[in-house]
Amino acid sequence: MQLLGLLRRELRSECRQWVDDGDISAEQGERILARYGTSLEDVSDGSLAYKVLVGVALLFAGMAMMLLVSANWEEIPRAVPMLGLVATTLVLNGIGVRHFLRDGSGIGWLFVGSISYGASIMLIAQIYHLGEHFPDGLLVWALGVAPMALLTRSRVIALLMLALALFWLMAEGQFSPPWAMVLFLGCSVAVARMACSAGLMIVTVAAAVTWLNVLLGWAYGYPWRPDIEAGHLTLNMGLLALIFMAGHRLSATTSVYLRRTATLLSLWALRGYLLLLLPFTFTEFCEGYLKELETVMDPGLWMGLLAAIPAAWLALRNRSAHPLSRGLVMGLPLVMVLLHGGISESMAVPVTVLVNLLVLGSAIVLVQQGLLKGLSQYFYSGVALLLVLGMMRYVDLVGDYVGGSVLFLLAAGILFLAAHYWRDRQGGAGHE
Amino acid sequence: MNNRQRKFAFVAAILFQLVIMAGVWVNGFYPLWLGEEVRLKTRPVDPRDLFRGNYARLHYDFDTIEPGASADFRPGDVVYVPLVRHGDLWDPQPAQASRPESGVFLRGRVTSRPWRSGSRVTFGIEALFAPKEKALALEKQLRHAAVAVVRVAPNGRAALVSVNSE
Repeated sequence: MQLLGLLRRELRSECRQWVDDGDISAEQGERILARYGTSLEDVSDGSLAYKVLVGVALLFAGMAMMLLVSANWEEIPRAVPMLGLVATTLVLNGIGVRHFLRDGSGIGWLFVGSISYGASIMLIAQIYHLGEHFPDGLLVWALGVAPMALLTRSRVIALLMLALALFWLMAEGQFSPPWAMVLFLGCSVAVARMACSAGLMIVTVAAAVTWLNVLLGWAYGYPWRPDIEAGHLTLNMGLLALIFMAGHRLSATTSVYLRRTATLLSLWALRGYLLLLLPFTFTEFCEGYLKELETVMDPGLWMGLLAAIPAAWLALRNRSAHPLSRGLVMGLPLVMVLLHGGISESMAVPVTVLVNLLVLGSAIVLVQQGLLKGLSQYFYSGVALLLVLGMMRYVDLVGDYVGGSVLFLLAAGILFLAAHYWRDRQGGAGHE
Repeated sequence: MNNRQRKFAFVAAILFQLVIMAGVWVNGFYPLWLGEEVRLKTRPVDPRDLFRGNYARLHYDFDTIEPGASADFRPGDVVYVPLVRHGDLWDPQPAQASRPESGVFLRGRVTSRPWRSGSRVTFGIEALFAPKEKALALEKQLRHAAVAVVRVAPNGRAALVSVNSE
């Protein structure tokens, strides 16, 4: 995991300081920074501020255009504002394309052109009082922006397309399964690959997870509406496992942007895993989940297995991940089948105790890995997890006072043993 | 991709946007061009839309399928509402799944599952865009007695022309 690679700007600044102070040579500085895909001469810091400010200014200009459109120019003949906005779209895109073909600039023009295009669609809908199915407007807006994103390989335009597609997903998802989302996800992945953008890749993965959850909702509620069921948790368990292992698989690549993507994927999958585990440490939640689960015919189980089985296969082949996480991922398909097919709500208390112990074990591993590999994010996540778990169990007892007390004693014992093991290992390492 | 092919691809992308805009325009315009004018009772409510500006939402007696009949319709299904003229106004008949062979009819789409009050249907004539003050005034003035002037194309697609007092 290259967590440091996520702080390239800070790393570059520190490295320049080391070179200026004579702590390291410029050549050494270059070699260090090259590991994270940057260099001492990288001047993107200054241009980033410029890009962000220009980007926000263009967004504001686009919003001004949308508000003007929304102002209902009733006094002006219909054709005038409509043709005006269509012509504005053509001019903005024309200037953008000209600049882009000349020297690769012009993204700002094309970005505002894409907003102007959407404003034109909204204006036409407004003039002709089109109100039958408003998500269609968002769909055709995103569809029109997609080719521009692909041709320019622009992250900003791809993000605009993805944002529109997500709005459409949320709106259309209430009426029918939003299959067309696959087009936008594919387009976004293609732009992320061509532009070597880890950020866009992560946003695309998040959008894909949202889409799969909406599709599962439709699998439950078809043909009436999307339903949220307990099986959604099963699906997300499988997806998190797959994202986590895919992150580990990608971390071995030589491409810097893919390594950065891998780091972000693993980090967010880990955070998702911890967030998903916490509710299961409550008996009532576990009981409700086990009660609500359908049988092995549950679509949530099958969609979850479609993600969990490749994840288990990756865990089997990839030895770079920690043994606890590999073991959990390898055992996940079996756990999912057991949860859906064999465990009833009457076993909620033992399951809750197991999950509490799993959280405890995960926290210990995070603290240990954080110290061992110098990853402060892991260390503090582990400490925070221990404290949150302690606080939650003190407020919400598992198995009344005696049960709660036994669980705390068990946790204290495990922590004590882990601390001793750690001290002995450190001592052994010191003697070697 | 060489520069010439790239140029061609960009032109195609801009043309694609233009075709979509033209499609949205034709979709809204052709009932006004080809359609027959009908007058329907309506009630304007709820002005304001984040994306499309201010508007008065128009409710019609026929925008809900009765609970008994709604079980036959799923969200997304196309429904047809035949219209029969009574004096100045046109009265809606019960919604049906098949297209009427003759007469004036509206084509709509079911947008909700059956509930106690039935299923919701939209026909593309539910939004009257107007400045905020006008939309609010319309809602107050026409709450109990409004008539929507609509043009209906031979295939049932409708376009809203105006909303007047009865």
